[in-house]
Amino acid sequence: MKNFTLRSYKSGEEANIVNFLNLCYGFWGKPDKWQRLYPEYPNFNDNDIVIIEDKGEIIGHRGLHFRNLALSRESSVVTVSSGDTAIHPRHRGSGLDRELHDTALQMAKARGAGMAFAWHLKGSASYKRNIRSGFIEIRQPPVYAQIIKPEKVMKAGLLHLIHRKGKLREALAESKELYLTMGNIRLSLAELAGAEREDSGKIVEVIINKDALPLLVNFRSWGRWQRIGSLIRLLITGKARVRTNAPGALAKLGIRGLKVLASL
Amino acid sequence: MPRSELVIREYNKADLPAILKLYERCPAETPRFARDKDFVSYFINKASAEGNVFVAVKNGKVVGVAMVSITVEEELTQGSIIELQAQDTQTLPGLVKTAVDYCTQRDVDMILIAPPFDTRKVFKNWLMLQTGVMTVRLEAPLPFLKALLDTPRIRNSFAGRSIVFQVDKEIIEVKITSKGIETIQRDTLVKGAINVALPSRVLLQIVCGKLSPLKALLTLKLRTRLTAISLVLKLFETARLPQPWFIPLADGL
Repeated sequence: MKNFTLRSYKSGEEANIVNFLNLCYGFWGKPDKWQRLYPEYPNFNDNDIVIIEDKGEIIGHRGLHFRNLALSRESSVVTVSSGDTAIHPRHRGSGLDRELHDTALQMAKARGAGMAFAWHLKGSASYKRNIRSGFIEIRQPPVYAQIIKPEKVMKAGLLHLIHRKGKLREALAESKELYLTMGNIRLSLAELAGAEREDSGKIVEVIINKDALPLLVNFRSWGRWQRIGSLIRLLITGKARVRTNAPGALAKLGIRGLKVLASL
Repeated sequence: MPRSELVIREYNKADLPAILKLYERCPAETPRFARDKDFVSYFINKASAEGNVFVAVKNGKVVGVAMVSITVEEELTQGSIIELQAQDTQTLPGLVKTAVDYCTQRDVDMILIAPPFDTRKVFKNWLMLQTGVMTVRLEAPLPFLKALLDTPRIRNSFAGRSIVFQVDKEIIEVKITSKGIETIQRDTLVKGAINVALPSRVLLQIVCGKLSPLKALLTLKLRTRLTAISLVLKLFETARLPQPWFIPLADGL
């Protein structure tokens, strides 16, 4: 980690850390969330936050949580779980993430952790890295959801995906003709991706029925082929349809969309 | 009101000892993160700050608890039943209904729950979600082996045995008696002892039921001497951890 300083958390820098996480995640949360997740967590110690600093600026963050895992009624083992991990966008792809990961786990082991846990989206870069470095996947029972306002769930899901997928964000920011409609909500995907509104009169509108949500709700957890398959299924079953006044723009968007989906 | 009727009400501080007893009375059937006083208080405080906590009481005894958190992220108001602990499946529907009603009254956009039992009937009208994937790695074999093997079943079945595990580069001798397990870090394998060599990943795969010990043996991922095969296979079968691991939303980070 040349020229960078690796250190633990110092009291008083909470706002800086949260600003940094918001920069990296698009929207991560507010200081009270960080406070509750870390300093208020049982047995918290300053070393549970690993910071990478470059000339006084935070460029990396990894949270650790230590807790006992009861393997049976009689016995338990100290474990470490990886919390929020973030690398400054300027330093992504430089291997800093891996160094932060390895160093944090070595520190955890030295502090008595017998097992390390992490949560990912299946197929994500961190998932692949962990599987390569000796982690195994553990089966969990399902989580159940009741969706009360499908439109808002769809919008939040899209924002979440856009904030975390740079290629998707770039492609959508250029797709100024593209709109997504569900119920009475109509979203400009370029605007969601942070671009300025531009009204050229050309519209490609993807209209999704509310009953399509069960098919889309696991979109984030799927691999690329499952994602493409689910979108094709929506179109074939009529749960989604496309309306446009600009066939040329539709063809362009279709090609760009497939490329982006394949790269996610 | 008959005394045996189930009453669901808001939590108050005096309920904490009874909730801790509920966790003691109903230990998880699968590996589970700590539910000691520190953690239960932390989850109650978190839920109280973000939502509410409800207890189910029957015959004056706390028989269930539901902790509800309401968060707003990316314009989405989400109600999550982050912890749901009940003495039996009959207590569950009432607790879930109270928690759901609470969320609905607060105009949430969606409600999430990771229920503790196989409760498909209670959630038949809910969407089943594929959540993120949980991955695990063994960092230190010694404390893991101690925790894994220190159970009455292992102590009763293998008392008097001494087994030397070589996990990655670490060598650990495990001495099993009827009263407990002793684990000793060694520099070299012990001559004449039952030596078992395997990578940490294979050890985890076996105890988590992802790889049968016999298959590991046949594919040379697990090595031991010929005369010890039957004992080693039996040991791993006995030590296998139940699946799937139940991780409540409260433990998600």
